[in-house]
Amino acid sequence: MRIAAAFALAACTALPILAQGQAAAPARPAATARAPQPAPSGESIAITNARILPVSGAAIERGTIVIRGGRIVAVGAGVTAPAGARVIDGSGKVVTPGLIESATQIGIVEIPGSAEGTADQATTDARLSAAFTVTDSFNPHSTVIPVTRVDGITRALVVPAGTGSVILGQAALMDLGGEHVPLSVTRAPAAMLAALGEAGAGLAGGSRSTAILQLREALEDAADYAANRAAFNTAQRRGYSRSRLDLAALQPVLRGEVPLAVQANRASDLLAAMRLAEQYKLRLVLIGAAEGWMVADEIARRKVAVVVKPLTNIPAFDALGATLENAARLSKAGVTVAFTAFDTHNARNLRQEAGNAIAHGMDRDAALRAVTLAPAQLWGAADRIGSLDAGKEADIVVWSGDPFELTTGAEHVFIKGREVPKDTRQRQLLERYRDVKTMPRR
Amino acid sequence: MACGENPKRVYGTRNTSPATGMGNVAGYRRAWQSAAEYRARWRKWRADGADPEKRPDRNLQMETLMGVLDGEIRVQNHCYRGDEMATMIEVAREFGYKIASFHHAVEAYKVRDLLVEHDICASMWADWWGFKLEAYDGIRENIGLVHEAGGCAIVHSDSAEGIQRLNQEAAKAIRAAAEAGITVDRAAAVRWLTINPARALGIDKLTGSLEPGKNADVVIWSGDPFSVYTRAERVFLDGALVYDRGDRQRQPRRDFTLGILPEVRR
Repeated sequence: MRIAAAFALAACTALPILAQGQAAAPARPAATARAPQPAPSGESIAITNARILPVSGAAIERGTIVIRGGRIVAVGAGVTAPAGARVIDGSGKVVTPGLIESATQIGIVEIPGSAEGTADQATTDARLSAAFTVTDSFNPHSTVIPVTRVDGITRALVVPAGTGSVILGQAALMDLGGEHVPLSVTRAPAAMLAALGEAGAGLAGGSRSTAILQLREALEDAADYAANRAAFNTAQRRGYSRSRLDLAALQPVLRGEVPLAVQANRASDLLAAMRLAEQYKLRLVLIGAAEGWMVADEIARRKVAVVVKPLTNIPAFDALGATLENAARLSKAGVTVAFTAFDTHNARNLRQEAGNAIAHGMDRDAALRAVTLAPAQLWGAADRIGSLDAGKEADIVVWSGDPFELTTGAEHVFIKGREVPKDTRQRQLLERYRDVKTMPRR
Repeated sequence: MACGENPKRVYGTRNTSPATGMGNVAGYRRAWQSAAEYRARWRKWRADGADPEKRPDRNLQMETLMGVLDGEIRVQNHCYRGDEMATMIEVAREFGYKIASFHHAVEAYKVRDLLVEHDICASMWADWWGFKLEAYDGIRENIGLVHEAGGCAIVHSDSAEGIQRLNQEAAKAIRAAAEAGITVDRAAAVRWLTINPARALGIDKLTGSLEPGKNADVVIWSGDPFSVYTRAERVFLDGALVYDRGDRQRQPRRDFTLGILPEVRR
């Protein structure tokens, strides 16, 4: 069975015309056992007596949260479960919004080290880098998705990792409900990724300066293209550094509708990125920012948000100032901070990152915000997710205790109001080998 | 020693053996056979009176392998998959050497009975999986299952970042075990980080537990060592205070950091 299915898939990839035809048709919801099943329409779910951390407001002790039709309909201490609702007793539990990971390759990378055919995160094609769109590769049946969501991560910014240009491509905010594109897309494009600093220099022929210039050239060509589109299409305009699709993809960035998310670590590179963004009036998000704390006041003054991995503390020449206190210092300076684990298979360790940020001085509420409302704001979805408020989509996690302790766990996870099944490929392996007397080989 | 994809990739891309799992094992058996013969030559020479004129040529590679056969050098074997661990156990039995620990051992749970039977430790990640095919079956209950079977479970990191927080890696393994119905008390989990690795390294007579007579390698934690908020307060190595969170004079500072940042407050 398995082999036959693999052949069928291989046959499909050999038929691009068929794939193209399908792309025009609206995608249907996934009909797999792995996808969360929709709640019967109108069914209400109430989580009662829980310590609720709504993020948008103060903690609610012994509160109730009601879900219906995929959304939160009520939250509070005085809320009662509607008649006929499925009630989850939240006594002794902690309820938070679903966690949001801000830089991962979930859904576009399966087994990168040994099955290169399952890795779609990067292109070497410098002609098509800004236009590169992760949603075109996203596989909702990736085994990484169930493993990640059962640990309370409900959405993720899926980012490209191109190797052909300093512009890496377009990231998308995806939900981990297991549905096909476009149903799993929360926002796309949610960001345009670019690399400066040491990584950017490597992509741009060996110098940080060229990396900046290539980005500048792309932005200026894109602006010129926007003003002279008709002339370009009749070959009446000078040549551009980028393909037509790349120039078009950069338009929402120039208009400030999509943030430019720049990966950089060294303080001087962060400042260079901010100067560039200011010149072209771009919305900027800094990703990595290991030396962010060294220029925290400047980042705060310019109202630039940062995505950091709090556990980054190994010094490199690109990040000699790396410290476990980076997140805390940025946050104290007034910078909007979101977290990432910079991982795909272990994006689930996002809460360990948050816990360690707290252990190294970050305010507890700010750390929770950095994995919920802050990324929702950065990636343009704060009106839909990121906090527990009536009207928002019901991405909710019921934790056995403190969500950032490693000896606690997610007991119930909801994505868009549907409870995520506990099943994962890993759980099936556990069950197969749970009893040493009956496991395979015995 | 290494099984699996790494040697296959490293040598395979050079178009030389061992490019396959069979090539790996063939290479090991060839080497151990040579080592056994080398040892026989030296033993015979000594038995025959150690005549300096007839001394066999010294081969440093063979001498090292002979040290393994003589039980003086311990084998730490990088191996992900259960079937490959089983094969390496057979190779060890064929040539009469001992494997101290399988490293990474992502599928240790699949052969935990064999590990117990042959008294081999497993040095495992708490949660790494999927980055290559031989890691695809990694489960977070791995450490707990080896522990439950009575095996020598070790939490390792293989990472410059992870090694800084092995206690947190163990905490994740405790949680995963609990979800599978395996209760691990804190004291048992401490062994994953102390006496079990000491045993695999052959230094368990010197360190790895708090007992009179042992080297004073001691950590004072700010609280439960398995809490994410807990920090190491003081660390003693051979009785010397080598780290004190409250005293900057007792915090490591390397030459490398001097003068390269305006103010390094790491």
